Amino acid sequence: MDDLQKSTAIAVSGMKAQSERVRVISENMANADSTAQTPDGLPYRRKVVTFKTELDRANGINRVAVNKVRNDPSDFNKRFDPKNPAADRDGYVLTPNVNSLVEMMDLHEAQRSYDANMNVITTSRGMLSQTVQLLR
Amino acid sequence: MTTISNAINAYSALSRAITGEADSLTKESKGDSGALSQSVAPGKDFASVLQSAAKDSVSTLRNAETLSAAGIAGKADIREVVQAVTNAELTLQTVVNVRDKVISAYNDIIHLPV
Repeated sequence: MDDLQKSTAIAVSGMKAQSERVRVISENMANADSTAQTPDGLPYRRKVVTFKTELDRANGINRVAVNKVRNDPSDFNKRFDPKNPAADRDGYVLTPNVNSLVEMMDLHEAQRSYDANMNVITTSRGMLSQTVQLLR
Repeated sequence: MTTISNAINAYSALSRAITGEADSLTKESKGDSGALSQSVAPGKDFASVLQSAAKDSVSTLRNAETLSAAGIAGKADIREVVQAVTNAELTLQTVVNVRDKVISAYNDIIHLPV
């Protein structure tokens, strides 16, 4: 494989990893209000994505892949809502440890990273095709 | 005279590069096309250059076709479809440009006033 084609393949792996990150972020955002069903249950726990390097021996390149989607161990929030079926004796409900501002910033970061990878693809494709055009 | 021999050397180097590359590709795939490409490689003439270039590009194009069909069915990653189609497009561009170049050289030689 040509080096520029390799860089396209690497950028594609980056785009894949970032889109999985966006999926997890959207899960967090959508479940920001998912409380437990019963007073002793637990609400939705925020998930975080970690990445890892993946060696592709056949092509001699390092791709990126999602390492693990694990739970965020931080404490749940509490809200006073005595009418909620999940409220405890004092009227407090445990709410997910999701901060929508943090999720928004994460989403922006993922988008920027995706864009950067797309720029790599556009640039390397342009370089390759301009080189081929030299034959004309 | 040196310019003509230079040009001939350049084209024979090109033919060697193309047939050599296509040969290694088919050997890697270990398909039943191995016997075909072996019968082509030793010739390394004008026809075999075009043939192996076409064979190489056909496998790239076929890969793109399979992936895009899977992509339409929602089974393949859309990014991989884009990558395969881009690669196929580039391969086709290269093959067409090289073919045009080689054919124009061939024509130039044929139309040489004797």
